[in-house]
Amino acid sequence: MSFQSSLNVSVSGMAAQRQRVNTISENIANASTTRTPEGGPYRRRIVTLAAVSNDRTFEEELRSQQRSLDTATEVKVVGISQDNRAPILRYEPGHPDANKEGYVAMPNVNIMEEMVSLMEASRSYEANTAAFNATKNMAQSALDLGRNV
Amino acid sequence: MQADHAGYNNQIHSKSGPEIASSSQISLVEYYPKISGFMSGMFENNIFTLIQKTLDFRTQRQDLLTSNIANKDTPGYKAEDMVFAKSLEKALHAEEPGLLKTTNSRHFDGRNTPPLELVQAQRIHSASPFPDFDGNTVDLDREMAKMAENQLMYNASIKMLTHQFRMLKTAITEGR
Repeated sequence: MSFQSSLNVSVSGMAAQRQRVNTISENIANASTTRTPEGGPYRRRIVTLAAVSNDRTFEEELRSQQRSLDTATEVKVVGISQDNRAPILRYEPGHPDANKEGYVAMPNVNIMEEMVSLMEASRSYEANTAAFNATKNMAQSALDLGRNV
Repeated sequence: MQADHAGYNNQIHSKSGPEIASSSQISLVEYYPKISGFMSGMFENNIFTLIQKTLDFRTQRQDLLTSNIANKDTPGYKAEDMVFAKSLEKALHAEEPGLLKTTNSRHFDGRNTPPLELVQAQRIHSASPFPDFDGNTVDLDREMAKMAENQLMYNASIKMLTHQFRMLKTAITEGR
């Protein structure tokens, strides 16, 4: 049934946005982390999204080839990369990680930027939930077809 | 039980007098074409094909719209949509007989539009007039509106189909 693919697409969207929210939370939580296992301050992480045609069974593939239609496009997190912007130097001579001049390399995380991304991700998540519910509603009315005839 | 009963009736008829048998034969010949015409009008109606096609297209369109929403933040993703109203309408008119007269179902009748069963939907790029800086053309508000419309129209088609079934049932139960 084709509704399955619509539902899968919405689920992929929700999963991707959840991953984004997780990464943004990580960035905010580490906004003043100056020590990491790799050395140096924490670097902001970015989620990269990509559109992929969803995994299909042989039958679905055959049917879509017949119709020359490939309607469902899922979204996938293809990687979490690091922001290459330079660390922000803050003058704090008393800090144990301060250099000789008294500057501490702080993470390149901008809280405002993260909050905007967080809002965007949570709205996108909601949009996907709405899409999921709409599809579910359609499937439900198809199931009720013929009832109370 | 019912079938046995009918078979029993038939036997009675066939075994009855010659004048009764001939009269029933005449009435059958006379009424058979009318009955078949009535039946084909009831079950081979293109309303069912039309609704089936509409439901099919709306399901596929739902796929496209959910994909657009899921890929709202994917860089470079191009929003897509599907149109089918025009081609369905055209095919509906093509259900009327063509210019050429046919005496066999395998004759060409001069129609140049495909029958309803073969109508395909067209996929189009539904680009937002204000694409994002990353080349993404999804306009979320528009997609949500389209999805709501798609859902409503799907449910409306389902309702129409239910009504068709109800009418059939009325005919089958002789209005009781």
